Amino acid sequence: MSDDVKNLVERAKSGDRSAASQLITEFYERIFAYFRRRCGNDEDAADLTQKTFCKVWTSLKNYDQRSSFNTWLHSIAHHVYVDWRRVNHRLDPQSDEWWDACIADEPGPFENAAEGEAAHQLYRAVEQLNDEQRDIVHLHYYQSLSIQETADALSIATSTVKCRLRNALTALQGRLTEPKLHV
Amino acid sequence: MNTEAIEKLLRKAPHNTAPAGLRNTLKSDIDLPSASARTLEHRESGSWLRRWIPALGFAVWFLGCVIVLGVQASRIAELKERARASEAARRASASLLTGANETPSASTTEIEQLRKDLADLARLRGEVERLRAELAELPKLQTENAQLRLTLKAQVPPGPKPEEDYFAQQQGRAARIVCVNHLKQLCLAARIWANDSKSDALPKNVESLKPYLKSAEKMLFCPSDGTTPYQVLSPGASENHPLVVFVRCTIHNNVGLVDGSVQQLSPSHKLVQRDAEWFIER
Repeated sequence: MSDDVKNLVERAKSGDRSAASQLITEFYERIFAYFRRRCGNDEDAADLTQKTFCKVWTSLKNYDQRSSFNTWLHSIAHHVYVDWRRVNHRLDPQSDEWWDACIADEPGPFENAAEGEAAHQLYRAVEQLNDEQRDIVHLHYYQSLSIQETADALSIATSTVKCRLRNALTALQGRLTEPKLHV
Repeated sequence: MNTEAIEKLLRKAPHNTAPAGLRNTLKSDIDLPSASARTLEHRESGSWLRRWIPALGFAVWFLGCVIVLGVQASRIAELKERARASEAARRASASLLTGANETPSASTTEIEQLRKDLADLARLRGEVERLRAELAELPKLQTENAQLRLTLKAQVPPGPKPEEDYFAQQQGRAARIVCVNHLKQLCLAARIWANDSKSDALPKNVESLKPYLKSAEKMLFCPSDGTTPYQVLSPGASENHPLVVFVRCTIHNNVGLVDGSVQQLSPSHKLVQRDAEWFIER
């Protein structure tokens, strides 16, 4: 955790709203992106982002900084998402149009159209993984958390994270090498 | 596609941009605890007594309960001990009372037994007197008994005449049949004797037939009285004359012929002697 974030957290704990605003500016886009990928629509993602930060302010006094603020924030976000799924009993994977829109908005990361197509298939395959593997992929790859941070966010062991990552990659590799039934 | 390529693509996942007003909304929703509240909270959290009051209260209540239970348990144990002692005392007094009552009851039982024995003795004495009186009357009773017997004998009606007595008739008929059997045995024995003697003459008396008879003591006498011997009418008769009467029963008038046959003679038959030999004639 950078010293700036630590400072901001301490100031926010002492009631400094400007520090809290800076923390929001720093992290809200990543949290929104996380929810957007998991919920499938902007409205739910925005609502869940609001709930997450509300919980952050409520629980900030209990935050003892044993893990980074980013990890702690993702842990809260994950629990908010789990609660939301439990209440709504649904799982809305992202539509192809959404991924197309995302890729079209940001053409930079992919070197060519073939890579973009492969990425498109890969992201759809991720949504077909089981819940545990999907949580790991979202936090570790999409949210760029380290193995340790992912383990802290999910309250599981690092060895478990590694195992699930390996299984997820194997499953994704298997799905991508399967012959396409629908062209 | 290998895993490295997959990981690379996953890390390149696009980030959708947040809505424009979301950041302002989040900032407006900031609800941090106030400094005064935090100070009060710190102060409250620092109050050791207030923090531990629930635990201390529970501990005091629990301790009080334990003390009350201990006192009650000791009181109950004391009461049980007293009850045990009083029960032992009650048993002791009851045993004393039972021991005191045992002697009179024993003497009463003995007296009752003696009374019973006395009553039995009186009853037995009366019985002896009665038996003695009966014994004195015994000769008189015997005399009466003899007189009654005589009277009874005198009153008995006379039996049937021998001619009318059916059982006597049957008995006489059976004796006559047995007599016929005896004569038959005698005639056969005589013929065997003659054969053994290698002559055709029969013996002159029945004594020489004894070795040929199984029960000579019975066979030589008529069964009617067992004492009347058979009479040899034709001693030394020849076997060549089969119709000669060899032996005779004087009671039943049965005759045995030389040929071994036996006949029961009726009153119409009579015996005739010719040349020292006897024959049957009508």
